[in-house]
Order: sequence, then C-alpha cells, then structure tokens
Amino acid sequence: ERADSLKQAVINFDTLDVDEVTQTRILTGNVVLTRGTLVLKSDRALVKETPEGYMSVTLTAAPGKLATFRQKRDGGPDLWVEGQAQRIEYDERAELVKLFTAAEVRELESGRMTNEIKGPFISYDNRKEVAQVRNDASGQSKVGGGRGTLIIAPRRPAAEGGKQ
Amino acid sequence: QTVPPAPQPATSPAAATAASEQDLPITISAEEINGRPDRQLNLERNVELTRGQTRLTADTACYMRVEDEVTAAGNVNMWRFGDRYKGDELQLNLETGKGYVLRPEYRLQLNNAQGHASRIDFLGENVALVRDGTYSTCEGPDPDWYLKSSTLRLDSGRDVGLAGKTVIYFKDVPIIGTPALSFSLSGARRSGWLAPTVGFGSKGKAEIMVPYYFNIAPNRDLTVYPRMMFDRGLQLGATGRYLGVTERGAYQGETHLEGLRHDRETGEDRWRVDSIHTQSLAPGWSYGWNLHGASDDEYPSDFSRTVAVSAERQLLREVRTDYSGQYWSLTARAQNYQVLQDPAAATDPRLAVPRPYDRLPQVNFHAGRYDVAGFDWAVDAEAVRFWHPDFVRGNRAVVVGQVSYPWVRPGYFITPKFIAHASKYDLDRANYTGERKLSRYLNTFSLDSGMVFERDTTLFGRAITQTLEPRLFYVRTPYKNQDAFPLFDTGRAGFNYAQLFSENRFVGPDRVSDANQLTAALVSRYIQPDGAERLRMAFGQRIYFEEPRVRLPGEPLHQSRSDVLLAASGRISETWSFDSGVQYDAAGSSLYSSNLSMQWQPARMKVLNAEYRYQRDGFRNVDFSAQWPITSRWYGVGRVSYALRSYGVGGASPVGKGKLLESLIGLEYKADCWVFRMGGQRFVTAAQTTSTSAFFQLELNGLSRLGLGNALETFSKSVPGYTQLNTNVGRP
Amino acid sequence: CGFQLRGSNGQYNMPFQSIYLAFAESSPLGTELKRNLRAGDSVRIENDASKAEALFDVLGESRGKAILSLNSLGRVREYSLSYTLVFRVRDANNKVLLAPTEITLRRNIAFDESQVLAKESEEALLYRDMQADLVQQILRRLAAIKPV
Repeated sequence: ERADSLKQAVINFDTLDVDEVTQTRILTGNVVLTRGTLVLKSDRALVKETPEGYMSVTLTAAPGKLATFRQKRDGGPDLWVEGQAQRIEYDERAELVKLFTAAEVRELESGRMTNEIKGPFISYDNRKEVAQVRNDASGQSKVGGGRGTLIIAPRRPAAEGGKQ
Repeated sequence: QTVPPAPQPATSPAAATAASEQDLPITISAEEINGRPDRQLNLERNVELTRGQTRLTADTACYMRVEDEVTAAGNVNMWRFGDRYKGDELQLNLETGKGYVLRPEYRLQLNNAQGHASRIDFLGENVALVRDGTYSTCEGPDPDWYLKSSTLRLDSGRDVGLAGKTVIYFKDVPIIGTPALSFSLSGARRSGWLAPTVGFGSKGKAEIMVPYYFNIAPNRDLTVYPRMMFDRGLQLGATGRYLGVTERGAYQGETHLEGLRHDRETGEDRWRVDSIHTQSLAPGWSYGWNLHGASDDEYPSDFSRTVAVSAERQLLREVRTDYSGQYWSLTARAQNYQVLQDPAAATDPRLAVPRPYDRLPQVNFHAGRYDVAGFDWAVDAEAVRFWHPDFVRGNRAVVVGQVSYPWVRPGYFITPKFIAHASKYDLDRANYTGERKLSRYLNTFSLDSGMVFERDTTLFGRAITQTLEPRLFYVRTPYKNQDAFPLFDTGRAGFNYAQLFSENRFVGPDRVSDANQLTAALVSRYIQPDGAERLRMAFGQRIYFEEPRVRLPGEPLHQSRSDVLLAASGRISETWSFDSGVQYDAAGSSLYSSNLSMQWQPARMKVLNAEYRYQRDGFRNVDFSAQWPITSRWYGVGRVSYALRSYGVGGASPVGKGKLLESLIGLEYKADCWVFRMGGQRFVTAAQTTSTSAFFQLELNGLSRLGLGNALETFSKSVPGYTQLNTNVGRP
Repeated sequence: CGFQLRGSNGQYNMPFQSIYLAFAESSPLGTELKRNLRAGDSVRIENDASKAEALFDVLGESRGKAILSLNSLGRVREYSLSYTLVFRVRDANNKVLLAPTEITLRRNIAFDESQVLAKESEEALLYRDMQADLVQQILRRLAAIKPV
C-alpha cells in the first residue's frame, strides 16, 4: 500500500549483534519487521543501512521453517498480499520484496485467494503490484530449468457463481 | 435410395461451453513469468495454461486477465473440449471462444475428423472456419481420402459442415469436385448431396440418378432426384419432409412426386405421387391424408427399384379427420384404392388384382368407460357408404355395444362379456333375394378366464422366471343366415394368437360368425430378472361344439374338431434366436401355415438367417441370408429367396413350379475411414418380369456416400441382423 | 413343479408410489398403461411431473410394416407388423432408475389383395394386441426395477 512508504519501520527481535565495520546488525529469534501494513517475520534477519538511510533486510528462516511477509494492497477495502520463502530480501527504498527458494506469493481479496504464485524465485513490487517469477533460486532465468506456476482463481467464487 | 433420417426438431447437443468454465481456476506455468497477476502476464518458455477442458502449451504466451484472453506463439498446442489444434500462433478468448490459429493442424473429437489449413478462425463456441484447409476422418498423416476446400465452416452446434468450392481426393486422386457441399459432422443427418445412383432399372435398362439434398431447416428438408433413364428420358422426382408446431398443435408429413414427360417407350406422361400428412387442429382434433397414385398400370414394373414399391398394386387414397374426447372418439374418412392391374392378368385372369370397395364416406364413433362400478362398457357405431363400379352399392350402419365385468387379480382373471351387434343395410339395387333393405340383430356371450403361475428356474444356466398361463375362452353366438348380406369389407381373419381370443371368426361387420366354441390356450414365457421376455411358447386350440354355419362364399366346409396353433419364439442363447409357428386348420384338416426361422449372430457383422415359410394356397418360400467376414477387411453379404411352389391370386392352383424371388450378392471392404460396397440384386416384379440392379458404393465415413446404386440400404433391408461396417462413425 | 400363482408373493408391486407417464394425451398406449397401473397396484398416476416419484420418458414409439413374403408373381402374401417403444425411467431428482430400453414386438399378417379392407381392420386388431402385450412387458420391466 502506498501509505506504507511514509511510515517508520519498526523491528523487534530477541537478540541483536552489531558489526560496526560492515554497518550491519544481525537479529535472531522471532524477528518481526513492521512498516505500516507491511509485516515481515523470520527467525533471523540481517539489516544493512544504505548511505541514504534506507534499510535492506535479509530474512532467513531456520531449516524447515519459512520467512513470511504480508502487506495490504491498494484499490480495495480488503486486498492483501502475503508470501513466504526460505529467504526474503526486502529493499526499503525500492519497496521490493524478493523471495528465494520455495517461494510463494498469494493475493487475497476479503480473505479469499484471487491468485497464487509459486516458484524457485519470486520478486514482488508492491507499489506497481508487478511480480516476476524465475525458475532458479538465484533469481536468474535458466533455460530448460524448472517452472514457476501461477493459479488464478475464477472471477466469481464457485460458491457465489454456482448457478447450475 | 438412402433418405437421410427424418428431420428432428432443432435441438443442438448440450456441449460443455466456455461459459460453464467461468467457474474454474486457471493454472499457468512457465519458466519465466512477468507482469501483474490480476491484469496481464507475460510467460516465457515452456508455457502451459489450463482451465477445465481447455489446455494450451506454447513457447511464449501472454494472458490478459480482464479480457480473459490468451495469445500464444511458437509451436502452439491446444486441447479444447476434446478438439485438438497445433499451430504457429494462436489467439483465443476463453470466455467467448473467439480467436484464430495460424497454419494449424486440427483433430476434432466429433467423428475423429482431422486436417490442416492456412488458418482457422474460431467464430464462437462451436463454430470454426477452416481456410484453405483439408478435412478427413481418416487416421494418420496421409489420409486415404480428404476433401480440400477454400472455406470450410464446421458448426458442431448445428452438426453441419458447409464447404465452398471443394475437391474430394481418394488415395490422392481427385475423384469429385463440387461448388458446394454440406455434410453432417456427427454423420447423424444431413449431407449435401447423396450418391448418384447408376444402375439397371427394371427390365435391365441403364439409368443414372443424381439426388441433391436441400437442408431447408432442421425440421424441413427437400431431396430432388433428377433421373436419366436412357430408354425413356429424363424423370424428375422430389421428396419433401416437414414437421413442426403451430399454436393449434403439431403437424408433420412427407410428400414424394416423380414425373416423366413423354416417356419415349410409351409416348405418354408417367407420374407417381405419395403424400402423407397429419395435422392437429385443436387438442384432440386432427386431420390428415394418405394419398398414393400412379399414372398407369405398368408404372410399378417400369419404374420401381425396390421390392416394396413394385409389389404394391393397390394404392390407398384416404382423407380423414379424427376427434377424441376423454371417453369417446369420432373418425370420419373418405377412402378408395387405385388398382394397378398386372399386365399379365389380361392373359391369365387368376393374376387379376381385385378392386376393393370405395368408402365414401365412413364415419366411426367409439365410446367406452372402464371400471364403472366394476363394469367396462364400450359402444362402436359405424355408418358407411360403399361404392363399387361393378358390385352392389349401398349404405351400411352398424352398432356394436359390449359390457363386461373383468374380475382381474395379479394371479387370475375372469371376464364375462355380453356383446349386442345390430346392423342395417340399404342397398342401391336388390340383391339375389330381392331385398334392398336388410337388418340383423345378434348378441354374443363370452367368458374369458385365465391364471398366471410363476416359478423361478434356470434356462441354460441363467436365473429366469418361467410363467405358465392357462386360459379358457368360451364364445356363444346364435346362428343367423347371413348369405343375403353383401360382403363389403369383411374377410376371414388369419388364424393367429390375437384372433384366437376374439369373438368373431371374421374381420369386418358384414358377417357375425355363429359360435359355440371353446378356446383353450397355454402360454409359457421365460422372463429375465430385468423383466425382459426372453422366450415365449404358446399352444392354442379352438374346439367347436357346434360347427360354424356362417361361411364366406367358397370357404371350405368346417370340421367339427378344432383349429390348433403352436408358436414359439425368442432367444435361446446370446447368439441363437428363432421364431416358429404352426397353424393346423381343422377345416381343411391340413396344415394352414407354418414357418420356422433361425438366426445365428455370434458377433457384430456376422449373421446367418435361414427361414422356411409356408401358407396353404399362398406360397412355400425358403429364404437364406447372411453377412459374414471373408478376410479381416472383406465381408460378404448375400440373400436367396426361393419359392418352392406358388399360387395365383385366390390360391386356386399352383401357378409356377420353383422360382427365384430375390437374389442378392454383395461384397464390402472395410478400411478404417471408408467402406466400399458392391453387389447385384434381382427380384420379381410381376408374373413374368424381374428387375435386376447392380450397384457399387464408396462411403467416406462421416462425409457422404458416392457410387452407383444404394448398396447399404439394399443390404440392411435384405439381411436381418445386418450390421453396417462403419457404424461406430457417428451414424445412429 | 414349483409353480405358484403370481401375485401370491407380491411379485408385482412397483418400487415407487407415484409415476408420471410422458405420453401424449390421446396416445392409446398411454391410456392402456395408465389403466393397468391403476388397476394392478397401489401406484398413483401423477399428472404433474414434479410431484411424481418416478418419471416415465417415452424416447421413441413407432409402428412398422414390412413385406415378409412374396409369391412367385411378386405379390405380397405376408406382412410383418412391428411396434417399437423406447423408454427410460428416472426418479424425481433425475437419477436413472431404468436405462433407455427398447421393446420391439412383431406380428405377421397374411395378405390377400381380394380382402384389402378386411386386412386393414385385422391390422388394427393386431396392433391393439401388440399394444396390450407391450403394456404387460412394460409392467414387468417396471416391477423389476430395484428400489433405490
């Protein structure tokens, strides 16, 4: 949601280590980053400060668990997007969320999934609501590699649309 | 002549439509996906999109969510509702079904049709326009036959394929070109033009006929038969069929006209008309006509190409109207017959075809109620004006009232019945007893009773229910001399199971047979668990306590003993079925008629029939017919119908020794998408004349039949149990 | 030999209480079938299809007449009359109780040109006889439907 870009980012966590040399902070233990309606959760996060003061966060999950993100979308009362992956990179300035390995992104409308994307790598630009899916966890598109899939729910949900 | 099956009211088959797929999710996968999921998605490499029965694969594709439209390029494959398209580039609106595909190869589910084209335009849900394409129902890359056309419109909704300028290739040889062609996609009904029929008409003269079929509307069609007869000239024939509903009710009919101006052989105009029409004017009230006519007596033997047409020498002409209330009905009709005299009758009077009375008019009234305090009653009244050029003319009025008290239980029934029969004649001139006004009153009492026993048993190892149904039927009618009464429309009823239990030995009111007789019968049926009757055996004997004295002129004196009827028919096993019957007639103390027919049908397209039919003073025929595979692809069809001994009309004395009535030899070759049939047939048309016709026919499955004569119709009419070799292709 | 009077063990009861017959109003076969159903059992004839437990659909009813035997003069001596009914039975919510079934009956009738008018009425007699036989066979098929 656009309004998020004016909000202050707040991160809470269990423990914090700071590496002055690389200007990076390492947070571990149920890390939760919130910025307006954007919420990112994971077990471990690595936060970097850019010269202009923007944050670039890399959230990674413990083996077998996943990092997740959730954010409201413009254009409607109850439009949400949520996603999960083993590793999520969030670039505060570009407002770009990149999900690596076993990435999933779902767009919801009043709680109902309107479409769902799965693939080795997904990048989701919330401001322009543009998604990019690549078939390699590195984010590159390898010819002959695996495939990402996208499921689009019917416009009228089956329940309402059931007019047999 | 194979006339396409009767037109049905326009109902298109309910196909899964795109609209019904709106409720299904779309699944897209590709190596690279970019774009807004709820707007537009560009898909790269190894793209696959599926929704319900639509599946699309391509190198690249773009899906517009709002318009619900997909465009794809690079070896595109699409499966949709059973049809399959392969092309370079495709665009399809999933909701409306509109779009196109470039340089496609296609395969349709209907009739397994396939072909390729420069372009296919999807005009709607089930309409495709194939441009510069081919169409064939053969398998494989190079089909045995295919049609090539500039524009071919395939409309599976209305089940029709319409081609513009078309050339048909068979084994890559162009065999026929036509400016337009329409054919039925499912093979159910229409085809643009029917096979030209070249053959040898009756009396062996060559002829060629090219019928053309106009499909005016789903419930109307017209077939035109220009027929070039080399010895006579050009004959034009047309058959129109129609059915429909007006606000006052349904109507339907079929009219056939054929005419030849100035027949070179006889110098006159020759024509024939056959018209049937029924129409309901109001609920319960309908009218109709049934008119047949021909220009002259020799018409059947000169122009007929089927046994049925040539054997019909008394042409019915009738106009009628019927009104039925809930418990009563009224019928009024005017009827007479045109007699086509057998030319040989001039020399041999026994061959003369008799002329029946005209009934101008005949009015019937029927009323009846069932179970009125246990009683059933019915009244049948009839008034008729009989006219005949030679025999006595007159009016007749008959009233028959009957009352019965049926005591019906599932296990048994007893039905006493009382019938009062009153009739009054008013003749134009006195008959031999000098009377012009005659009247008669008789009453009949009958007692019908029967029981039904059942037991569960097995027949050839199959569980079956066998019934045993004894029945006794006593009839008492006093004798009244009726020789003075003219015979307008009455004759002796054939001695069969139905007649065994009717009170009057005669059919028609001119004679009420006196009776003091008892009919005993025993029927045993074998009923399968699903209720179907597998086998039926019946024995019936009529015992005359008093010898019936009312007789038709020339009817042999009756013995006092009885007439016996034995009949058995049904399926003995999955492959064997038979029908047999013997009627022993006490009057002539000899066998009145007997027949035995066996059919062995071990599998589809394999059947053997053997039949023996005998009727005293009528005929003694033996009949063999078969359809049998000779090799895996060649099939033989044959029939021989032979008259061992035969009689003229009235059965006075044998006319001819043995004579071949009908012989048919046929060969069929079955390829996977076409069938070739050929053969020859000869049948008797009159005392001395026969008709010989040769035919061969190439049927392109799902398209049309072309060739000489009509083999398929001849085979299926002559060989009971004949199976069309390519039935699995759309044909009903 | 194991024979029992029919109906003594209630064989002839129908697995439904009410049935709608999709015959035309004036169809003779329809009227006779209605009469037999009413007389024989507790089945109620329902005129409103929506209220009936079973729906009897007539898919096809046709009468045929074909030449059976010719004599040596090419004259018809026997016709084979046929009466064919194709029907199906569905229950109230459109489940098929009895799949489309065809019953074809045949009767042979001797023919003689000199009795054309008499043969016409005999033909009507035979069609009425086939109709009665058809009704009995339909009743048997209905009784054999396994109650769902």
